[in-house]
Amino acid sequence: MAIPPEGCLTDSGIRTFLESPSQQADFEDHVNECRRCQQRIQELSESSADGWKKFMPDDHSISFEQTLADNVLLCPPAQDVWQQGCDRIGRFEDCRPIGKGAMGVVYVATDPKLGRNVAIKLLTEERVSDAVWMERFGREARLAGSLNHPNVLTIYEIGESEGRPYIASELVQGVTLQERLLAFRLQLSEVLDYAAQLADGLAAAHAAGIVHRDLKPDNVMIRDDGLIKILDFGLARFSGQLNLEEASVSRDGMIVGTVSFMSPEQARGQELDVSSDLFSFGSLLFLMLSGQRPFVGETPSDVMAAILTRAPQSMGEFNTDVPPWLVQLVARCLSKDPALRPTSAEVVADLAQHWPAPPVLKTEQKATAPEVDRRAFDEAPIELTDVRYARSGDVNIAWQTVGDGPIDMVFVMGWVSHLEWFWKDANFAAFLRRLASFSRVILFDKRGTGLSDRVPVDELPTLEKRMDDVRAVMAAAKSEHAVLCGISEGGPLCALFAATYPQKTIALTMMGSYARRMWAKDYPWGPTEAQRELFFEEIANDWGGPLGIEDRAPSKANDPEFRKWWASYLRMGASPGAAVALTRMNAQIDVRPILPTIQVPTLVLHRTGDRCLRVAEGRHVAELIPGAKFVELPGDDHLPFVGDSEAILDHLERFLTGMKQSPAVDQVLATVLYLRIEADSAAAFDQFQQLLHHKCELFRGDHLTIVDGAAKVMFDGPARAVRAAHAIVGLANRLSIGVSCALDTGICDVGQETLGGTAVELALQISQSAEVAEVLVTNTVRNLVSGSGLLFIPKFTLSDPDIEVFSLVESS
Amino acid sequence: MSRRKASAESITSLTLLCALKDDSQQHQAWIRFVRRYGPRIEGWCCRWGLQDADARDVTQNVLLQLAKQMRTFEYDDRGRFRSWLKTITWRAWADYWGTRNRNAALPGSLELLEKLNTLEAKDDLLLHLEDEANREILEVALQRVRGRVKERTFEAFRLMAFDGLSGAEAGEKLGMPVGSVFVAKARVDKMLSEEAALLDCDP
Repeated sequence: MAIPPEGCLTDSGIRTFLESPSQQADFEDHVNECRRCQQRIQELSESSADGWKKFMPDDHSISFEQTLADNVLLCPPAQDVWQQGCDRIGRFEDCRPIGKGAMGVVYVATDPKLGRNVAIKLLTEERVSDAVWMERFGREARLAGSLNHPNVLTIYEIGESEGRPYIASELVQGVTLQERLLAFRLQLSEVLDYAAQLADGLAAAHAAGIVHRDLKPDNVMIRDDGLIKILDFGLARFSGQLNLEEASVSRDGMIVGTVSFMSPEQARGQELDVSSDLFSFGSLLFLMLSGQRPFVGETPSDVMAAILTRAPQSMGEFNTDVPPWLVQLVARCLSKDPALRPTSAEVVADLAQHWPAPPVLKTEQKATAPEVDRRAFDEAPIELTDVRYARSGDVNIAWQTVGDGPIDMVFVMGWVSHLEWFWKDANFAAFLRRLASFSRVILFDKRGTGLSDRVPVDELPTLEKRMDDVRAVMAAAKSEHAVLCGISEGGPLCALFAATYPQKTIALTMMGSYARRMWAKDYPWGPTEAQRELFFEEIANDWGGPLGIEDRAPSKANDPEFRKWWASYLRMGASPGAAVALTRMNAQIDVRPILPTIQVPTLVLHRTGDRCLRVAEGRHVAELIPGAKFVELPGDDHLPFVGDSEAILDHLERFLTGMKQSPAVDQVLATVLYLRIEADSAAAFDQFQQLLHHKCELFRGDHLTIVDGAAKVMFDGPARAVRAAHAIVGLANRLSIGVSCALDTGICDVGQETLGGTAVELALQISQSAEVAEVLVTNTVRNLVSGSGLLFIPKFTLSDPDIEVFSLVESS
Repeated sequence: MSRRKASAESITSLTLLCALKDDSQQHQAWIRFVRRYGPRIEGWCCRWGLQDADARDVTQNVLLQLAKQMRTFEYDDRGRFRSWLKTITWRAWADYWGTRNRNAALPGSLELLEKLNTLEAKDDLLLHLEDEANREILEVALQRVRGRVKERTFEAFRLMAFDGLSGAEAGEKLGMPVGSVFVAKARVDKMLSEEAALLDCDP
């Protein structure tokens, strides 16, 4: 390497210079003259691994613009003040700030008395000392809060904390309309849905004489399930945010945003009545349809001038798909003359006429006055048939139908039940009546409980037997297909039924339900074995009293009437021995493997605070069922007819009435038996083949095909399939024919000429490892037949797919 | 200490964040947020095989959930921006799958949608957003350094580092001796690296 000429530096010298250039100022002069050093520095600079380079995004695009972030940086946010959580506001605990609005800071907090989460708005106004103001504010807030309409935010209470007034209200999980609009344009159907709900909420308020005064996208929340909630009814006048003087000096977009939705009379500072809200509603509708505000301007004053003097922008410029009637409706709402605007009730009617309101409105509306409603259902002339009996095998199953709605619904109550005792609790009766208002409800008691034949404790039904019972009841009620509605432990049965008989299942709904009852590493919500044992003991000792009422109906646990009913309901439902045995059997349930095979529309409902079964269990179920809709509802009660049952019924009705048709059924959940047959002679094989047909028929097998020394056949019950395999092995032994069997439960294609699908393939694969006279099953099969008396030992684990295989050792 | 705290705070505010907590800037912040993260999420959807309409639907929902998480999940200023972003993304993810009305999706794409609901897909989404986090960090670092050096110094750096000019070319353009250009570039390199590391709080 050449020695550097005079004044030049080595590479390490250059690096040192670049590290701290000020110490070698003369080299800087040298570089200005020396091309060689320039070249070298250039090279070193390009190849250096500067720390910041690892932050370079893949596309190398970096903005040098003054960013918003920088603005915030330059004026350090005053947000610390409110971002800090505080221990309590009033009687509410564990308050965490979640947002800030014009009126104050919003917190999420816990109500220690009811154990529920609430939203708390702590007002910035320090007006508590002003008794007149407080009184007026409290009255207004309470008045608005008393509306009790699904589309109006429910206010729980008003109070004061450390000199500042607060409002505690229901907590809504969702986004504001403002946020929603900024993300993406709304579909026309969404706009109409939201508009109808908004109009509905407004109409209820207006009927009560309450004016909102500040209807704007920030004051409308869209709950995650699509329910609209109007916030801050009638409170605007207390926030000072409509003070025009303030508005005009404000420079930012927010005030412009607020004035954009003002009515002309509001811009003039005149007295407001309900028609002012209609103008704001028109502006909202315009915004939702077009993405633009109807009146625009550079400054708040310009916007107000436009509101007062100009016609709204033409909606057609932004969205030409808006139907003419809707353009006209918006134009009427935006009339400068209040007298020309429609009333909110007219808007509701108009929307409903042109666009049949979605069931959400019809049903949620019923919740407006639950007292009145419940009576209406109590008095409704709903036909309740006498209890009758259906034969399932040699057992009589008690059943009954209620109502004559357009679709059938099989109602599967969990644990134990008693048909006639359902009707002795007013809430339960109202719940069933409401179901019967839109369906023909088919009720039954599972074998061994209620009015059905009592069976020996060791013959209590497996899920499979109970499916047979459901089929027997449906046949007796002349129902070809029905919605399966499972409550709690009725859920897994309904899920299995829906997967096995999709052609008989219109839809599946599960309320407060689960997929597995015991703790496992991959199912952390179930009780441990020790906890279950304690519960069995409790049943054995305390049956006769209101057992488990604290977990199942906490909101009524202190109601002596209800306690009495619940205790008698359980007593009528089952004997203590049967209750223990049933609960023990339920502990074995694990239907997780079959959930992904369900193809019918599914709705899973679960209350957030369900004390009996965690909400995560319901969520898990919904996650496993393709396309399932999951709805989480507030409340702690496990029993759906206790607590806010209207919300559950609303969702159910909406789901069933708005449901899409289920796809054509050529895939079903079934248990496939794959047989390898080795016969010494063609004659022996023929004889076996004939007997095989007979055996399969006996065990209700279907789609039997025999080709090339192998046979496949499917069964709708896994235990029956295993027993069939066992019987076939016995038959083959007698004929000196070698058969090896493998079974799996899963999706089967029945649309083709021969049976196909993943279950067939897996059974085929496993059968290759089966010895002669051996019956191998997958863990799916094994889990589904628990309680059936079939015994298995682990055999091996397939690596791909990862499946445990078991060998049948005993079939009782 | 106060410096570190300040950086953490501003970085919280970086994305929309500030603003979901401060109404007046909400609109701008949202637009910026959607512009930045929207294409990332959409790109991720497409990578996982979703068609346009579905990708838009998923993107829209994930964005909304993300925004919701950002608004409700408090940023702990001792933590790192990255892990914070990771946490809210996970939560948005879980929420999205929890609340999505899957019946509304096109039946043909259900299978693809389900594919998005895998651990692998989740990690990939985080990776996509990570890149965006890098951009945020680098941009804020650039802004800060820019405020602390002479405009010419920063410009010399920018021309060399981002526009690909040589020291001599940059010097000519700015009327600076080439030696000063190199010195300027070296200074900004160093400051920027420190600043970015500080913002990232990467151990």
